[in-house]
Amino acid sequence: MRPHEKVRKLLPRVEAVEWLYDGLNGKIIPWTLENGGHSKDPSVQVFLVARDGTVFSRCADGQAHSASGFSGWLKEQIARFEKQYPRTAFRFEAPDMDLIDGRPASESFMAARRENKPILLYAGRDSAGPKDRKPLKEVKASRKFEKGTLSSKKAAEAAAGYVLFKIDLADERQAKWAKAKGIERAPTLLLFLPGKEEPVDLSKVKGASLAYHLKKHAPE
Amino acid sequence: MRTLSAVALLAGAVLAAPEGWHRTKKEGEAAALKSGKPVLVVTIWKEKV
Repeated sequence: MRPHEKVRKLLPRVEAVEWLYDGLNGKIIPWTLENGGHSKDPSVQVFLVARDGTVFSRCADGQAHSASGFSGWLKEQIARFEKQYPRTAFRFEAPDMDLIDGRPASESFMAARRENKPILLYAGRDSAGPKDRKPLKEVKASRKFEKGTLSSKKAAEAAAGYVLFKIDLADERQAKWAKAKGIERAPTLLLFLPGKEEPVDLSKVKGASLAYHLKKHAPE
Repeated sequence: MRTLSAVALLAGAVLAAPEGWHRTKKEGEAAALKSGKPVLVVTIWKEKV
């Protein structure tokens, strides 16, 4: 069986997940029901999800039943997503985040510090409630920052050798962890250098200038 | 019958590129953070062999 050509062409633009149902009492059926699904059976359903796990769009059951309907939906939703969440030139990773004595801690962040690796930490905000004025402004500012400064290819190239972390202040645990580091708003971009306790704040720096700063502190 | 049609359409995509597909939503989200791409989640039932 071959995928429809139109669907196949769109797959490189997504991270595709085949999420196998974990039984009738598993966690997947409740998740589909919470996100627009109507079936209590393990039926095939299709969602487009943002990096923070929130559902961006769900393909109507009727549309998923034809190749043209499904590919049309997917193409339209990817375009809408890419407009709302512009891809950055930087390839950030999420630091792990555990609770130790009730406080969020990140072993991957601490490991990079112990190993004297320079860290570029970006704190953005991916979502906010419809009436949360300040967080909504931060979401908008984060998108602008990502579309501008973080889309600089020169800056991203200059970040070779850096550990790149991105956190989302909409995530309660990550926000608490960030607050302990003095991060109170998004977007914030901090450079943690080996041997130095205080980070360098690069939040106001533009793309070309960011490249300069990153080269200046680049590991040899 | 409609469900079966959907399975056929989507399973085609799944079976054609199993190597490139993530196995959990969490894995897809981690990859999306790095790539900046959206996550296409297809929930599907497969009999265990």
